[in-house]
Order: sequence, then structure tokens, then C-alpha cells
Amino acid sequence: MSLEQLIKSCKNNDAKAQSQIYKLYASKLFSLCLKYSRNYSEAEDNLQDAFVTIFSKINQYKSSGSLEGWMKRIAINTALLRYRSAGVFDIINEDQIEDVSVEIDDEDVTIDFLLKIIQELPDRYRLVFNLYALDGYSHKEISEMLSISTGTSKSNLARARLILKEKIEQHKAMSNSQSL
Amino acid sequence: MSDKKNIDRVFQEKFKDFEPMPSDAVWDNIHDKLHNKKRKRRVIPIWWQLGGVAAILLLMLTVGGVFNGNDTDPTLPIVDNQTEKKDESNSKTTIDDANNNSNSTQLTNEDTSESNIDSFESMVDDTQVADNSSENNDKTNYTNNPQPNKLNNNSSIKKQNSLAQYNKEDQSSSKNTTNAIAKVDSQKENNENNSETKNAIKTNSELDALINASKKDDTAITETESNTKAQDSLNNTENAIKEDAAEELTAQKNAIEDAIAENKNEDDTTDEKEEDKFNRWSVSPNVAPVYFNTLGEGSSIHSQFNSNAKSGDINMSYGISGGYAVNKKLKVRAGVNRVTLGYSTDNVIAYSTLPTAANTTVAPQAFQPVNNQIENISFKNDTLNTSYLSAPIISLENAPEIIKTNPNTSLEQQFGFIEVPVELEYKVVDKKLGVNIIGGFSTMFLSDNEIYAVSEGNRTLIGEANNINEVSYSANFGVGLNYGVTEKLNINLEPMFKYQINTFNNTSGDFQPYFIGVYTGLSFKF
Repeated sequence: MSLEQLIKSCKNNDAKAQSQIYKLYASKLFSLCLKYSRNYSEAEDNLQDAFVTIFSKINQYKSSGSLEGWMKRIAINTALLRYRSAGVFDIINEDQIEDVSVEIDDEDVTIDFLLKIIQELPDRYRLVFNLYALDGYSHKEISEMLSISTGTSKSNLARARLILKEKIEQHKAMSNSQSL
Repeated sequence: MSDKKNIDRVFQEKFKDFEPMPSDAVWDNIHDKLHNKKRKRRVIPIWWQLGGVAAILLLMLTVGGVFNGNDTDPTLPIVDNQTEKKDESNSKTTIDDANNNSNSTQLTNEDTSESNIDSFESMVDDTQVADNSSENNDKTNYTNNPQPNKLNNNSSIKKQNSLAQYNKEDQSSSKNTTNAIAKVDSQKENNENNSETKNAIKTNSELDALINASKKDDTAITETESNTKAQDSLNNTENAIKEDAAEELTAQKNAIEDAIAENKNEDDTTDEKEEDKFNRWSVSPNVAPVYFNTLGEGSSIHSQFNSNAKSGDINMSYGISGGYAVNKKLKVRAGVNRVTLGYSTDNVIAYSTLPTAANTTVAPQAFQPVNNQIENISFKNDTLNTSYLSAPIISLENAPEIIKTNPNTSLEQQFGFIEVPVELEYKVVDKKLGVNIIGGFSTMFLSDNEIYAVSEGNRTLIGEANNINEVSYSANFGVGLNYGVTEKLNINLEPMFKYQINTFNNTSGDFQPYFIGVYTGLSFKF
């Protein structure tokens, strides 16, 4: 079945087609959910909620955009919605720091480690870093999505980068000392 | 040492091919929520719906009782119509109501499920809209308001724009109209609410935004109001507040589930053709030839007629009923019918009992006229001088001549009821030509009650039966055939068997009255 036919069947709430779509996109969206979440089980919850929304709302999907893009936006929104209630977007009194460009040595870092340190970031840093660095949103868009200022967004991004860099360097230092 | 790389790029590259598969349980849960949720959620509404229907029926019965004996046919259906019309218009404005509700509840920071609906809907709308909306929109709006604490506002506006765009592109005209209607009302309400909010948090509006999360949204609303003024746009406020609701409200799983489920319902009332979109209400005028008879051998008039030949008459019933489809299979319906039933007892000997010398002497005791002894008939005064005897129980040989003179009289009993049927209709075949099984009961209020003597073409009213109860019941069974002419219009043909209960309070022999009607009619769905 072509993707179009699958979408059509999904609009009729056809379980088989839904399963197909799920199989096609679950891993991509799960990757996304993982990096926006604090841990694995939260990511699974988000993925589940996102797909329920996707299939409930698939009638609103217009074939003008890519299905994957549409689904990703829903998944991101689901993740954001989760933190809204938790007060993650509350404005914390913090000094805003300048946007910095952080460079690291990418040798010996595994995806698992990167995922781990992303999940360990404070919630808003994680969201901003993901949105900006990995999913290509602008600071303007992020400020709207998270109800923060662009300044805060930039500052959060910079802090996230610094924390990540520090952790990667720590990790390297540790593995180096172990190997010595 | 390898080259230093931008940290963003490092992450991008690593995540590019990172596609882990979630556990199977995730899909199972999704599937359950999509397909089992519906069934689960149905359970409660059915009882609510049935409760509502029961209340309507109770009302109808009460009204029917009040009008007992009168020709009340048009009265009750009108009640039905009004309810249904209201419902129709209600469903059109459901979304507006929900919006208004969410506006007010949101201002009091209460997480009601209704505002959840809206918030979720709008959230998803945004998601959807992001497909189409151009970035230019956002940017122009954005530069108008460079201050950071107006950002909320901007996001609202962006979403409003997108929403409007979305409406234009995707929604059917009906939803647009609905929105348009809603605008006036909700605008009024918003203004009121906003001014209240404004007063309440005026002093805090800017500073609190930096500290207090719970008041942040209120601030946004206040600002939205001023912005609305500036932009001279009527519907912005509505959407902005709706959007704020989205920002404020929780992401908890249950809330999302509810929202999705409720959204589905809302969608149904608008333009999406989904599974449970169908016309629930229907009105069906009907007319039927009805044939009355009895199952056992007996007489409703007098025991002496038990073995007489009797025949049911064919009369007419007409009425109207309203139905409510609880689901696609099951429909509850109630109505009012005017039904006339006739029944004649043949082989009756009628003779004059005017006291003549011959009569009084000749007639033996056994053949004393049973006039007035037929205790089930209240005779009219001017017919008291005629007596009726059952021919079969008289041996004609030794009967007096005078009795033989008039052997072929029938007693024709006619009674009319206002019938209030309450029935369930279960769809067995759901095609263009559908088949239903129908069962239920009727409450019958006596409206006509006459007994005629028919002899050689002459029909004389002799009185009325005094053993017919004012209120009686019937158990109804039937099969319905309906043919869908259009989606809204059906032609019905329903042969029904109605077994009467408690119609007579003093019958003789095994008298079990019933009537059969072939109800034909049209049914209009909406």
C-alpha cells in the first residue's frame, strides 16, 4: 500500500493501516521523544500519547506537508505539553549569558552517552537545545513555543551547550584515566 | 587529537541515524486507546442517554394522562419536535459554548475538562497549521512587539492567524458560520472577563509575569485585550484566550485522553465524517389498519356469548412517534397514536321486550330477556326495551316464536384509545432496506366506547361497555422494514402485534384481546 492509501485508511480509523504507519515512523519519533524526555519510560509515554493524537487527528493532516514533519511536530508538542503543567517554563530569575559557540572533540562519544547527558539536562535547557540545535527551530519560534523570551532561549541554549561540553569532557577524562 | 567540532553538529550527526525501536507495549497501548476507548466511553453515555429518553417518556405519559379521553394527537409530538429542534441548534453551537465556557473557566484558573478540550484542540490545530502557515506572518507580528513580556501575546496572535487561515482552508462553511456567530457572543463575554481580569491584576501584570506562573496567563489575556483594540480585530481575543488556555492547561495523560475523546465528539458535530456520525433523532408519522381479536374463546360482553361467532373489525390507527438512536443498532422511540378497535359478536337474537300479554306468558323462565342482566353494558335509556340473547345457546325448536323473529343481529363493540407506545427498535439488517425487531409496551387511555346493535343493515347505538378500564396496557412486538429514500427520509412498514393487558376488568371465558396493525409511515431523521 502506498503512503497515501495508508493515510486514507487511517482516516477511517483502520487498525491495520495505523499499525503500518506506526511501524514506519515509530523509531524516528521515538528517537525524538527520547531526547525531549527525562528518561526512557517518559519517552515511551510521550510516544504513545503522540501517536494517539496523530491517529485521532489524522483527518487534519493535509498532504501538502510531509507526514513525518507533521508527526514530529505533534510529538514535540506532546513533549512540551507534558512540561507545561510541571512549571518548567516558569521564568526563573537567572543571569542571561551570551550565546557561545562550543566546540568539542567528538571522538569516543556514543549516541547512548549523548542521549544520557541530554536527558540529564534541566528540562528547559534540554527543550531549548533540542529545538534549536537538533530540530532547527529558531529562537523566535522557541520563545513562542515555551513562552519565554528570545533572550532566555539564547541563554538557555548557551548554558545547555556548556553543560553538555563539560560532561563530555568529564567523560573523556574518566575514560582516559581508566585506560591509563 | 581529532579536530574540534561544533557541539551542535556532533549531536546532529549522532542523532541522525539514531532510530531505536520502542517496546511492543507502546503499540499495544496506542491500539487499545484508539479502538477500545470508544467502547469503554460509550458505556456511561448510554445510560445518560437512556436516562434522558426515560425522562421524556415519563413526561409524555404524564401529559397523556392529563389529556386522557381527548383527542391529543398533535400535542405530544410537538413537545418532541421542540426538543429535537433545540438539539439541532445546540449541536451547531456546541463548539461556541465550549469556547465560552473555557474562557470563563480559564480565567478562574480551573482545569475543567471543557477547557481541556479547547486547549488541546487548539494545540493540535496549531500543529496542523504549522504545515501551511508561512513564517512571514510570525515575523511581521513579532517585530511589532519587541518587548519580551509581550511574547505571549505574539504567540497568541500568530496562532490566531494560523487558526484563521486554517479555518479558511479546511473547515466547511458551516463551521465558519458557526465561528462567525460565536464571535459576537464570545467577544462580549471576553470583554467582560478581560476587564475584570485587568482590574484584578493590573498592578502586577508586568512584574508578575516574570515571577508568578499562575498569573502569567492572565497577564497575557490583559495584554491581548489591548492588542485587540489596537488591531481592531474582533475575533482575536477569542482565539487568544483559547490559546492561553492551551498554554496554561496540563499535559497530563488523562487530560490528553479526555481531550482526544471529546474532540472526536466535537468533530462529529461539525464536519468530519466519522463512525458515530449519524442522525440520532427521528420523527415518524404513521398510519395503520388495525385488526382486533381475541386469542381465547370468551366474550367481553356476557358469558352467554362465549361460544358465539365473533369477528374482529378492521379499523384505523394513526399517530406520530419520535425516536432517539442510542447507537447505530438501538433506537428508543415513543409516540402517540389514535387507535380505534372494533369487535362484533354475531348470532345474537334481539327482540323487543315491550310487555305484551303474549310475551309475558309465553316466554318460559329460561328465556327471560337478559337485558340489564348483561351487566357489562350500560344501556342507553331508549334501548332498554330490546333484549339480546345468544342464538347458539337457545334451542330454536322450543324457543318462543317471538325470539326467532330476529336471529341475525350482531353486537358491535367499538372502542378507541389514545395509545402511547414506548418501544425499542433493534436493527438487524442495516442496509438501504433495513430490518428491525421491535419490542415495547403501550399505555392505552380509553377515549371511545360504544356498543351498537346491527341488524339487517340498521345500526343502533345501544350503550357502552362498562367493563373497559380507563387505562390499560399492551405488550408490543413487531418487525420493521424500512427503506431509505434519502439519508434523512425512510419509508417504514411495521407489522406489529399488540397483546392487550388489563383492558377489561370483567370478561367472561378466556378473553385475551390483541390487535394487529401494519404501521406504515415516513420517518424523518435529523
